[in-house]
Amino acid sequence: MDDNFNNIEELLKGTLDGYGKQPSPKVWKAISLRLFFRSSLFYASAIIFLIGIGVGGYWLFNGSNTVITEGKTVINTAVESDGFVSNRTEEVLKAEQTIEQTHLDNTTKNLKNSDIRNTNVSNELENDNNKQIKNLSSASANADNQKKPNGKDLVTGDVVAHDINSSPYTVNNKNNYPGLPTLNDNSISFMPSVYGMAVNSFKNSYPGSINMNSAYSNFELVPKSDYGKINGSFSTGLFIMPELIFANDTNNSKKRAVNVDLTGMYGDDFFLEAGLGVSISDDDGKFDINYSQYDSIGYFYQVNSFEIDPVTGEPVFKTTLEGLYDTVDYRTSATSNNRYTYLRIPVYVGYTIRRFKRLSLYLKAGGIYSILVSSYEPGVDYVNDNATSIVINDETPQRINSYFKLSASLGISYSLSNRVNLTLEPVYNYYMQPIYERRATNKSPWSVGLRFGVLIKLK
Amino acid sequence: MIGDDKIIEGCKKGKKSAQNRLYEKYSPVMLGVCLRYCSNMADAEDVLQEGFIKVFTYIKNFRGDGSFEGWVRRIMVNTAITHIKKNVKYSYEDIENISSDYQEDEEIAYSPVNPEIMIKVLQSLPAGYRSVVNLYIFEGYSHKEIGGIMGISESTSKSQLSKAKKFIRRKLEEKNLILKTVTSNG
Repeated sequence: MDDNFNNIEELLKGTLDGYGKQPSPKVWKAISLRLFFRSSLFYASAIIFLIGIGVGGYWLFNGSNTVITEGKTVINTAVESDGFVSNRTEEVLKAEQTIEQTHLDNTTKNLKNSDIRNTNVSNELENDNNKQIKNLSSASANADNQKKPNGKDLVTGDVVAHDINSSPYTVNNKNNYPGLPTLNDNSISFMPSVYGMAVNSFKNSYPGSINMNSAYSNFELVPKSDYGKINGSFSTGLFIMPELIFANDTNNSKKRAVNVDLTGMYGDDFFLEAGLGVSISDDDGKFDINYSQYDSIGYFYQVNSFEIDPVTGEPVFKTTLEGLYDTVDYRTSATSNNRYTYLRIPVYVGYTIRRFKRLSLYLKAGGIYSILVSSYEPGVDYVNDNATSIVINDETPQRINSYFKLSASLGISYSLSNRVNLTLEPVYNYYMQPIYERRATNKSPWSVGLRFGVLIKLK
Repeated sequence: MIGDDKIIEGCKKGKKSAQNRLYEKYSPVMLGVCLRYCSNMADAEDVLQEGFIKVFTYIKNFRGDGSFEGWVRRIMVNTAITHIKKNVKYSYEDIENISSDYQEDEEIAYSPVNPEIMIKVLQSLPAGYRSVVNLYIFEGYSHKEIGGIMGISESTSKSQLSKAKKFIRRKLEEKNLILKTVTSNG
């Protein structure tokens, strides 16, 4: 049998037609990876991840330093007037608004009080005066403009007043009255965190069983029955977890948080997870604002002249309506958006409960130790052109420098491939101590979160 | 053993297991094709990877009218040609001198050659010559078609093929793989 070739073409074709060679494993790995990034599952997971980042980002960065007025309250009213003062509420309410009128009865009463100046209005009349301020402010508008004094420093009660002509009053987040009880807030807080590097290894110590860490084994495709099996390997993952914190204070205020984790695990059915991260937490600064301003507290009739009625022989008084103003103290509150950065050290242990082909269900519990590394407390501005004095008391509860919380989660993992896993973990956290230095209540907060992300086998 | 039809259907549905089976079945032969067109293993694997991405991307367009292997092979060849055009600045001057010592009408008998050696010889050809040899001898294209594919004239394609064959014969002679030489008029 002549196996020789008669020419080059025959030789080439006979030698190389059908020639094959096994490509290196990295080719399929690269193809598999590229196919994954083209798959709809990738886009779905990417969208979920981006939504998570977006939600977390929104929660984290949507705070503002807007001043919020809550229940504006008159604290104290000091009456200061150049004219006659009427302390009688009923007289004020019944008064007519003509410039010149005859009121014999009222005049008699007014004359009895004509020397009253700088009279402190009793508490009983404060509320009535407030109503009068509103009712009469328009009626006495012209008179108001003439009577309002220029701003000047005043002392009212125990509050140190400031010149209204100064720039908008600003205070740093520093409590001027450490002894004052803090206000319970309805604030929103944010507590994202980043877990640091960690390694993860898995061992398939139970041949025949399905291992939860299927995604950490080779990237090469394996039969479905082998999904979930892993050999010893190191893995790391990137996660994001929006979190809702229940402050457990008297207002039952809720705060939101976002955790971004870079973490890893080691183990088989039982596994250990550890990492290092950063937690950025937003919280409301609380400020109590006391300010004073001249306000209309009523009006009175000023007698300009009088004459005797030739018929009756009675005196007839000619009066003008005058507005009455005085310093009124008000109280309001404001919030700011503070930010705190914590270094976090999480450690978990976990156990895989069930595996269903590509899906795995596991329990995880552990603790997270957090150390405060920086804080940003911008304070608030309060602007009121009519105020004669402004005092801002910082009542922001101080964050503690470190705290420890327990964490437990029930997680589900989905194997996209032998190296890539998507995870979803509802998480419960319990803080071992309050997160504030001093608090009206010493109850510890708790929180719930939803952590999802991607785990990738390193080797 | 799962047949091609099921594998193809699985690939059309995007099933990874089917993709893996298809790859395992055809990748060795297709790597052989790529090795003929490329000058080294790394380039060949790059072309193989790119080619299979195209296969998995466009497999929905495969209607089963012809051979699936032929369809995959065409994709690999096209990918290889694209790769060569894109990445290799090929010249035809390298083998001008070596071809003059041989006559076209010589009858030569060749013993079977180890494919690995033959691949090395083929890969030692400049990319342009190698492409013409592959397209003409292995893919069955005419010189006119090759000219259109490679952007050269028909005569250039013929000339390159002739020179390439002489180059290969010389390389084989250097390796003592030619059994005998017989002149046609002797």
